[in-house]
Order: sequence, then C-alpha cells, then structure tokens
Amino acid sequence: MIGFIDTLTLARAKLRSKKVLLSVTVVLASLVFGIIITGMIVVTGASRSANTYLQAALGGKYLVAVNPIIPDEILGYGSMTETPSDTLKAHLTDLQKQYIAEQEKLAKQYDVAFNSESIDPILKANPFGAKDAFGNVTQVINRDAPAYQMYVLELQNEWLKTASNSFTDLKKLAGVDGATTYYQNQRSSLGYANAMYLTNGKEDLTKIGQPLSTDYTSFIQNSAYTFTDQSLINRYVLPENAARQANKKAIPVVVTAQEATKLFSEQIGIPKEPSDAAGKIIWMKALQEKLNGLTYQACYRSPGEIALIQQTMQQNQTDTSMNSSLASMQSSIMYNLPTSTCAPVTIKKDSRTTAEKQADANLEAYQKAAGTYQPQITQLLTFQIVGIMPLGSQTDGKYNDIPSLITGLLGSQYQDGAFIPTQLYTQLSVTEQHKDILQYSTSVRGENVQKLVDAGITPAIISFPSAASAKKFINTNTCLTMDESSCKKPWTSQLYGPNYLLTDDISKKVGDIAKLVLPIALIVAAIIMSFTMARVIIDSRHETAVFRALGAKRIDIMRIYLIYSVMVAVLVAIFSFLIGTGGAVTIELLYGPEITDQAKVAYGVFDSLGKFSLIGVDGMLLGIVAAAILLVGILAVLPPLIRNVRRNPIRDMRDE
Amino acid sequence: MTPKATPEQIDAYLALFANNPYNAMVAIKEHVQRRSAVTSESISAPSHSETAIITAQSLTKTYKLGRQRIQALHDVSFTIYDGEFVALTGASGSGKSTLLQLIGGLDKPTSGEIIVNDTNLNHLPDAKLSTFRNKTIGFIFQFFYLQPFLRLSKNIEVPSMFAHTKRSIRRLHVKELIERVGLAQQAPQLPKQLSGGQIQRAAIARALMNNPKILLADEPTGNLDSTNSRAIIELFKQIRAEFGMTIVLVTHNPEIAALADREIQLKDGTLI
Repeated sequence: MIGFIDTLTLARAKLRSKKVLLSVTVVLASLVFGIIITGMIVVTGASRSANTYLQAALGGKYLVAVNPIIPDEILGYGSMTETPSDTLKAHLTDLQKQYIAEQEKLAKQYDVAFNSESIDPILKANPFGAKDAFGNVTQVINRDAPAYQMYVLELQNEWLKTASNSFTDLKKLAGVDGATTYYQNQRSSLGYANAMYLTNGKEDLTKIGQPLSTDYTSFIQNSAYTFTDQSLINRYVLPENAARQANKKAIPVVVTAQEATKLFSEQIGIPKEPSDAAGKIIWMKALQEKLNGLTYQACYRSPGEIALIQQTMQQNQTDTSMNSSLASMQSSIMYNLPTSTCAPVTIKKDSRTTAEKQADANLEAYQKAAGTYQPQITQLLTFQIVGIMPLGSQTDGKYNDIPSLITGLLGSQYQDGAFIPTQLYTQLSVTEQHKDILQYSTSVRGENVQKLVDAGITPAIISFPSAASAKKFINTNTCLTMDESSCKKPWTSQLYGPNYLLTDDISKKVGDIAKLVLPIALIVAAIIMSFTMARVIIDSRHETAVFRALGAKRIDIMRIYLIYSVMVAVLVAIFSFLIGTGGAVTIELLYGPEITDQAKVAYGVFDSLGKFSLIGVDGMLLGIVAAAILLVGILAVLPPLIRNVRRNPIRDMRDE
Repeated sequence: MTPKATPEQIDAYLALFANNPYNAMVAIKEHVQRRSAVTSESISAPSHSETAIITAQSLTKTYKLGRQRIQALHDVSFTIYDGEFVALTGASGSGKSTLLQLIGGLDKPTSGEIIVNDTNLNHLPDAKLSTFRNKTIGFIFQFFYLQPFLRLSKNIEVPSMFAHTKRSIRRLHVKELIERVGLAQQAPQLPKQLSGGQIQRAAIARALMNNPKILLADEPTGNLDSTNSRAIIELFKQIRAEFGMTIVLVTHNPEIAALADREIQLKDGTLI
C-alpha cells in the first residue's frame, strides 16, 4: 500500500488541478460555514458579555418574587350574581343575625341608638333582577355586608387547614433548591385613597381619593410605595450628596428614571429621554446628578378626615344653593375646609347642646369598640429621591431588535416602581418615619388578609445562588406568570431584577436554531463539495487508470482521493474560520459600541463595566464545526470515489 | 555481456545492506556501473533465451458496446520469449491494443488463457494483479499520461510509490534513470515545460522504475516525428540490451515494426 507521504505528494499535486472549480467550491462552502461560525462567535460573545453584566447586576443573587395563590373566595371576592344554596343562605342569615345581635349589645352598652335596618344585609336582591322559577327575584350574596366578613373568616380558617403555601412551606421547598435568603417586600399602606401627591406643592381637594394616573410611571403620583431590603436595589442607590446631607429627615425613595422625568423634568430642566443609547447614558448621568436629593411632598389624610372634607364640600355646595339660614339649620356642627396645603379641617361653628355632645362622645366610644371609628389625621409627608433605576423592559417578551433584546436581557423587571430602601428608612427618627401611616403592610390585596398574614401566607423574594437553582425552583413550585387563574401550583413567580433566565432561553433558542441550521448548512456544503469532488474524480479517470496500470491498488486510489478531500476540507475549514472571524469582527465594529451603550443604559450603571463584546470563542462548538467540515469533505468524496474505483481501468483508457 | 540481475536478485542483494543505507548506496552504484559497461556491440547483436515469458492460448476478447458485441480478439495463441523485442502490428481496430492490455493484466480475456512470467493472469485477484503490473510490467502509453502537477523526477518515481520502495533507494534509482534517458537537466521541471520527445523519454524512465521484466509500449512513437521515433526505438534497444527485459511494442508503423526482433501481425482480432 502507498505510504502516507507519497499519498500526500500525489494528493497535493491533485489539488493544483481544477483550480477555478476548486476555488469556487472552497469559497462557497466557506461562506456557508463562515456565516455559521460568525453566528456562533457573536452569540457566544453576547451571551458571555450578558452574563458578565448580569453577574455584576445580580451580585450573586438570583432573585425570584413569589406570590402565594389564594382562591378569590378566601379573600372575600366572588360573583355579584351568585345565588347561594339553601344551606349557605341559612348559614349566612344566621351570621347576619349574630352580627346584629353583637352590634345591638354594643350599642346598648354605649347608650347609642341602634337601628338593625341600618345594617347592610348579607343577602340582597339580584342587582339585575333575575327571577327564579316562581317568578321571584333571586337573592344573591352581598359581599360588602359586614356580616359577610365573618363568613370569609370562617372560610379562611377552613382553607388554612390545608394550605401549603405559607412562608414556612416556601422555605422548606426553596431550601431544597438551595435558596439562601428570603426577603419580604412590603407594600406601604399609603395609597392614592389616603395620600395625595402635591403637584407643584399644591393640594387639589376636589381630586381627593382619586388615582391621578394608572400607568407604570405613576407610582409616586398614586403614593404607591414598597419597602424593600436595600441590598436588592443597592446598585441604584446614589452616593450621598450635599442636598441629601442638608436634609436627612425626608423619607428616602428610589424611583424609575422615566417616572422622575415625567414629574420633575420641567423643575430641574431635563429634556425628554433620547432614543439613542449614547444619548441615554449622558441623559441618565445628568438625571442622577440633578435628581439625587430632590424632595417632593404628599399629604396624608385619614379616611375620617377625607370623609369630613367631602362632607363639608358637599355642605358648602348646598349652602350656596340654598338659603343660608335654612342650611345652617341642617347641622349643629360646621367645619372650615383647609385653608392651606395639607392643613387639617377646622371647626367653624359648634352649636351642639350638652346632650348632643354626650351622644357624639358615646357614638365615638361605640365606634372604637366596634372597630369602625375613623380618626382625623393629617400629615405632610416629605420624600427624597436617593436613587434612580432604569425602567424595566416593557416589551412583554417580544424582542424585535438587538437593543430591545439587550434591554430585555439586562433590564430590571421590578414589579413596583417606587421603593423605600428599608435600611435608609430606619435611620430616620420615629416621627420622621411616620410609621403610624406608612406602616408596613404585608397584605396580599389589601383587605381581609390579616389572618392569612398571621399564618405566613405572604409574598416573598427568594435569593438563589445560581440561575439554575432559581429556575429549578420556579419550574417545580411556581407558575412564571402573573396570572393566578391558570396556575395549578402553590405560587406564581416573577424574576426580580434583571432577567437572568433570558440568557438561558436565548441559548436554548440558539441551540434550537443551530439544530435546524447546521444540518441544512452541512447538506448545502456537502452538495457543493460533492459536486466538485465528483467532477474532479470523473475528470481524473484517465489518471486513475494510469495509476492502476502503474500498479496502484484500489485502496491506494482511495487513499489519494480521501487525503485530497481532507485537504479540500481543511482549506474550507481555514477559509470558514477566516470568514467567520471576519464577520464577527465586522459585526462587533458596527454594533459593539451601540450595544455597549444600550447595555449600560439597561443596566443603569455606566462606569464600572467594560465593553459588551460580541466576540466569544467556544472551543467545543468550533471544534464540532471543524469536525463537521471534515466529515462533509470525506462524505462528499466517497460516492464518486467508490464508483470510480470499481471501474475497470482499461475502460477509462479506452475512452481516450 | 554483463550478467543480468533480476529485480528479486537486486532486492536480495540490497537486503544485505538494509541496516546500512551507505553500504546500500555503494552497492547500487556498483550495480549501476556494471550495467553501464554495455558495449555498442552487444546492442546491435541482440539475443534472447528460449524461455517463454508470455504465452497466449486461444485468447478471445469480446466487448459489449451498447447492445452490440464486438469481438476484439478471436482465438489468438502465441509465445514471446524472455528478452525478445516484439512488435504487435495491425490496422486500427485490429485488436493489438487489446492484446497488449491482456498481457499487462489491465483486462481479462473472455476466454483462453494468458500466462505471463509463469503466472496465469486469469486467476489473479485484483490486488495481486496490481502488484503484478507494478513489479513485472512497465507501461508506456501513446499519450504519455504524466501527472501534470508533479515534477519530472516525482513522475518517474510514481510506480515505486505504489511498490512502497525505500525512499533512499528510490532517489538513487530515479537519478540513475533520469540520467539514462538524458533528462537530468529537466528533473525539477513540470511536464508542460518539456517537449514531446522529452515527455516520452520520461514516460520510459517511469516504466523502468521498478525494474520490470516486461516493457509494454502502446504506440510509443505515435505522437512523435520520425527522428524522435527512431531515437525512442534506439533507446528501447539499448534498454533491452542493458536490462535484458522483454519488450512488446504496439505500432501500426511498418518502419518501426521492422526494427523489432519479430513481428506479430493482427487482423480483425486474429493472428495472420
């Protein structure tokens, strides 16, 4: 059999023939593989850069926010038209009677007139007038009735016996997947119903108790704050500056850049958010500098105070439309509306008799005992911006272009837009904390949940040491959605902070695409190469015949052409890698700076990170491609070669 | 006349020096010097033994060409003796090339037997036929068939590549042959840089590379002018005298045929 060096010599001589055809083949096949290699390099690079950015963003914490799933009826919700069964109807009627009896007893105790008719009934006529078989209007459950709350408590007690999504359950299950820390983000009890954001420092009493806006940049306007462990949002908290040193009594707030711009851009002279990433960086920096330490105010009024204001406003309206002497007869106590921003309601005229005053005092005592007393509190709250975070991805998982993908990749996915960092907050004095009105509330939906909270059925944020462990927990125990209705697991979950699972998703998608594209590319390249190989071999039949005449065995011919095809494949591999690398470098030069800026904006910190490089080499992947090219080269040459070797050499000599 | 050494004898002789390349080279040099001592007298007075080296018995060869069957050879029998210079002649299509291919083990007869160097070629499997062609036969083609992208010296070396001959031995032999055919200057050149005559001489050198017993030449002068043709035949004669090999030459040129020891004439696939 022919030696290896001789085989190389003859194969190399072969390589010098059919140069044009060979060049076209090498270029075409290299283009096919080169594009794949470019894709691999760019995806690997982007994925690695994203991971670097993510590592910096996450600080080793892979956070998952979980919400326990609680059936609606347990929270007191239900259909407006639900007709209860006869048994339930009887039970609800009993509860109503029990409630009336308790209230009557209390009223007697405090010497307050009691009218059982004034108590909201637990059953009421169907609001839409639906009738039963006998033509009577059906009765439905009145979920607003105070006695209904007793029924809800009964349901909660029953449900809690089998509930498996308490904080203890959570710790047990998440612990299995390696969870390290548990946080409880607590929504402040403040809200648009009791605290009004003072636009330009002014209070508009006509809009009291109404939400100002409902979009995702209106947390401050609606006084919707969330107490958050500072470590979760630390990278957005800005260093203390002169403005903050001068005022250390305000409540600290971390707000989104978009909301801050909406509220304060005119005041501080910041233009709208530019669309290009480089502009955004400059914009964000200016925003941070100007907003750090900026204060704004909101006026808190207790429900009792709000009710009084609304009553007084109504009274004033009646006064203006009626004879004042008549109007003054309507009430023995008259109030003045607040005369300045966030001032309390004052008594204008108190013409009550001693007996009336006593009756009012009795009523207050009775309401306190019954838990229905509404105190009159007014407090001016001052907040101070201590941090800016970029607004999270609003693309709902639709990533149409590279920048939105990067934003999705690195952007924050926080559920609440205005945060009070707890560590900074607790540094305030008790008075400055306004704890009585900003009290922590672990409420799930704000009502009827104290019992559930006591049993540990609360939302939580869990920190996992890796994306894999977080993912395992999410997949096993939760539905990664906000929609509770379709979830059959104990919790719903959302990623908290940057979307660290997206890189995983993208890798999977890229993997899926690669599984589809690579075989197609291999087939295309194989067709191109086998066409050329077949051509070269057919054109070499005389030469093969001469070699056979000179004593070459079939195996010698096989060896020469196999080595030849390996040489061609190596050429294709070299050119593929050159084209692939060239393509990746071109993409890096074209898009690298823009994507780096975009990533920095998405990440929200601008100085501490290096370039978002789109170049990354995965040795194993490239090795697979190289092996595939070699394999394609050898496979492409086999069919024509086998056909050729089987031929009688004399036939090809005779053809001459 | 210098006693002729068979390739086997040379191989055995060289094997003695297998572990000492220097000694091997000295041995080859001596062998070459002995060969060079051939005189012009010995060329002009050729002789051959009475040992049959090629025996054809009732050779028939039929080709299928589409649906047609073409009988290229019909009942051809002859003997060629060791050391003979035979010209196979006949008109185009008379079957002379087919006969040459059967002798060279490139093809097998439809019926009849061909025995070359005591080997019945009909019974040899493909791999052994390859070895037979490589060691026993030296082919020279009308169209030369040199590898266009191999240097002349490498082209000559090709048969020894398939024989897996030691590189050091090969190089010496190539050098010797290249000088023998007068192409020492052209050794590093590619075939396209050579003239027709030079290429044919290179093809002859290649045929001699493995010291074959039989040289088969298919119209070796077909593409050459008369001067070059005569020179090639002279070269054949010298080779025959020098190496003592049997030469079978296919030609349709009577002048060339007349230069051979004997002429075997074919007409329509049969001997005349």
